[in-house]
Amino acid sequence: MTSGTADGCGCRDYDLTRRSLLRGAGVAGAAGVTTSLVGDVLTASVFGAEPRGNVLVVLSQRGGVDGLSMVVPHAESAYYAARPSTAVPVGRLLHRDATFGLHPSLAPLSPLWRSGGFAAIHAVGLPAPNRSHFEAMEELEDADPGSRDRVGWLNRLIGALRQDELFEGVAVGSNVLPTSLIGPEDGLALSTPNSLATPYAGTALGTSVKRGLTEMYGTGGRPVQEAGRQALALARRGGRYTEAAQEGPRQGAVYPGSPLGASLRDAAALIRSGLGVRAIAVDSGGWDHHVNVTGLMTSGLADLSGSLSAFFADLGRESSRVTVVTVSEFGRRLDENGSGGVDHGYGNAVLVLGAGVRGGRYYARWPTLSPGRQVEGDLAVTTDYRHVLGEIVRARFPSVDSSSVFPSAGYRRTGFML
Amino acid sequence: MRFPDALPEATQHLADRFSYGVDPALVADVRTHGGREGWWRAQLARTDPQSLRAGLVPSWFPLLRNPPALTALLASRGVRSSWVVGQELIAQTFARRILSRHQVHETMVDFWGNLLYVPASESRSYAWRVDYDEQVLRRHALGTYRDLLKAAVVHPSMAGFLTNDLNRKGAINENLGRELLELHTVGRRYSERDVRHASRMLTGFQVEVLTSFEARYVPARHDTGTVRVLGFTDPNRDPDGRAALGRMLGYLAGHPATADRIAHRLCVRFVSDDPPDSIVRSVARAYLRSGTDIRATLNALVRHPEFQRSRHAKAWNPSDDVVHTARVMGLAPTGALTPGAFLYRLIGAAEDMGQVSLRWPRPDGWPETTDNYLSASRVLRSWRHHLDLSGTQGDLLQGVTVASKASQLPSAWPRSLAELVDHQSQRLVGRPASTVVVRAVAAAVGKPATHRYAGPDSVPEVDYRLLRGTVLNSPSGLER
Repeated sequence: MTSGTADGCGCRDYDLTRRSLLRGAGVAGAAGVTTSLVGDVLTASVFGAEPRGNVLVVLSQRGGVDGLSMVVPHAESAYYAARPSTAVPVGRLLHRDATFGLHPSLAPLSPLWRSGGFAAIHAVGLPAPNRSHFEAMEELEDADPGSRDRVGWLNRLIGALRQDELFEGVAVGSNVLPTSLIGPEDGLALSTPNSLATPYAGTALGTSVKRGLTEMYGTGGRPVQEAGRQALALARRGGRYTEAAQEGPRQGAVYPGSPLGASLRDAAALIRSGLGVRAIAVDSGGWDHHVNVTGLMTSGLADLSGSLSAFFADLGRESSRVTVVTVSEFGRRLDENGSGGVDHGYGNAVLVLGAGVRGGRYYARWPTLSPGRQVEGDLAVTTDYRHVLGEIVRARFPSVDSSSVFPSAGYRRTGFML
Repeated sequence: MRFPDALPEATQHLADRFSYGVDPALVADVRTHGGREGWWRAQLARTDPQSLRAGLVPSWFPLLRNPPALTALLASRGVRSSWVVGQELIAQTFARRILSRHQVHETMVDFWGNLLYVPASESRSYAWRVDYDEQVLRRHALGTYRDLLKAAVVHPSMAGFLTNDLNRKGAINENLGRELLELHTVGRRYSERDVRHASRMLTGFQVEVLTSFEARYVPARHDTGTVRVLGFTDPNRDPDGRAALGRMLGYLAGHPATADRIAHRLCVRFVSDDPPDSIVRSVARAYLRSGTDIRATLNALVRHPEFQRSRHAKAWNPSDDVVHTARVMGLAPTGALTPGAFLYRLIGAAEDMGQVSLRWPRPDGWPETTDNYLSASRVLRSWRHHLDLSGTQGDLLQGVTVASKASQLPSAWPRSLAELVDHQSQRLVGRPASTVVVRAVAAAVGKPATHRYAGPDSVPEVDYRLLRGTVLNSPSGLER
């Protein structure tokens, strides 16, 4: 056996710096990941060296959420005319201003809205319409049109944080990285906080097993060899995350028993564990409303708001460094279809919650729903989603050059961040 | 040294890609058919009689044969949920992958099922999902893509999943029409008008989704009038639009863009995550020339030089990993009577690793690229799973026949530890052991590579488990 021991088993220590991993990681990065959703929810995260740094949580509503039901433009008669059976009645809306109101299922987040920690932005989206789920998601997460490199914007954010850490990108809830995390920075996926050790760790057999594994995964640039090295490194550090998760939610927070609830519960544990997480991507499925948009939005938003409300309660004081933003590949058509649903559309609404948010109000360069302002029967986009994300990056990660995260996107401030 | 139960490299490669793992039965079949070519032809023709045990698999899941109306009724009464139906379908699928003699057929059922994708347990499609498996995927997996597409698109399970039951004259629902173009045929090269026209052609199919699931064609729901999709035009005058729909699907199946898309996906599955253009072009050409014949298309793929150049370029995805491990370790399921049965434990292990066949929620199917399944946590869990199945005992081993130690080890003795590692490497991984793996096993077992064992009985259980588990846990054990 070789010398050097961090864990008392006589195993070689394969802690690698980011740079040494990067040399080989080109293989995995170039191979690319084409898609990102596993099960109903996925979370992915990025670690930095600063254990108490600011954290960005990107919650993807996969399928294309109906922003017009989530943040209802109640002053528009066109909305009620286009949706005779599915419009949300104005009397049921929460926190109405002259133009907008929130869907009633968002009630669990009302305290946050009132305290100014929750804002909504409307008519946000891709620069040009794309009604294909798969392409729109790719574009949304890659956020670098014209480039053939498959590097996602969260991956560029990690790179810009410039920290020499072993795990720069970690996916939790799945073993498939979202497009936003793909790129030269290392990706790592954890499906649950459990079983993050080498086989039979803590037993004599486990010690024998680990001796064999460390022999086999010392060198080599094949993807499986890279993955094995990361696995051994994870096994040395995953314990802190496992422990934080096993302690359970704090402050009496109760998460819905949904995949999204479980995912945000794990995300909170990851933040509390002090491993230095900086960005977490959470995927939530089920937002494709071809049918029964009323029922799906009522239950989906109840799950979303209940999960987020528990998440912030659970984080307690830690929430002062955590900002959450929702994104979705596209909005829905203005007109309802023949099935009480709405087909693929364009402009959408985005929710921003937590640290640094100038909340309790709506933001929009509202295009209105008048026929001349629609884009092929859809809400127009007047705020590039990259500018929304860019504003958060600028406010919460001031050391990062946001133009390197969103190349050629330009920048126009909306003002929803402090 | 080469052990007699090892296959030549080129044959091993073919079997690594087109089977769920080389076991003694597969090696025997290769011998019977005089080598790789003969085995491949017999696999495509499915002329060999099915093994007895594989033939019994459907009888382990009698309730999967309930008619859709009864399946729906039992679910609505809380007797047997859609989740249970899906779980049984996945267990049956895993059992067939482990036991079937027709490995290429099983592989192609998986491939097409992941392209013309309908998940298990989805609430609008589950009642018909088993029928979809039998009547669409299994029937047409080695036929023509044209017939497969025609059968899949009009099937009530697909209709339910992509809401075509709601698509009718005067209330067009574009869900299936869009995915037919984008996922099932030409890819993203359609206009919004193409989607609308294709959707109109798809009207007429009624399924009582969420109630009786009764399915029928209702001409009054069909939207007649000229349909134009990507160069296809049909007057679509007949109130019964099925013949016109058949013409449109035939056109789309034979479209060059469909050929490119299917060829690329086949090559990503069977060659490498980023396949060379030359093989993709050859496969697309064979697809078009043969009139979408799947066997001709696969022949072009496996006979192209790039196919053999791609050895070890793919990884086992988690579901295939657990099936592969069962096959190479000599573990044959014998039933599925209890939730703790081996087959259900395999599903649990695959779930832990992050990928269970038929549990992907979206219509695009699981990614066919495999490098992206190689996350750190998945690797940790694969390692654990391989070791769990490496011995002759273990709490996962219920409802399964465990091969004897003697049958898994060499026949001539004594053997050094190094020789045993080499033997197991050829059996489990299909390659001779590298010096690194020999060293790793020696380190794990705590004995020198020269240590000699007198016979199978003198190999202690812990050595046996560490030997086999470490070999399968080597980097080569995750590659195919």
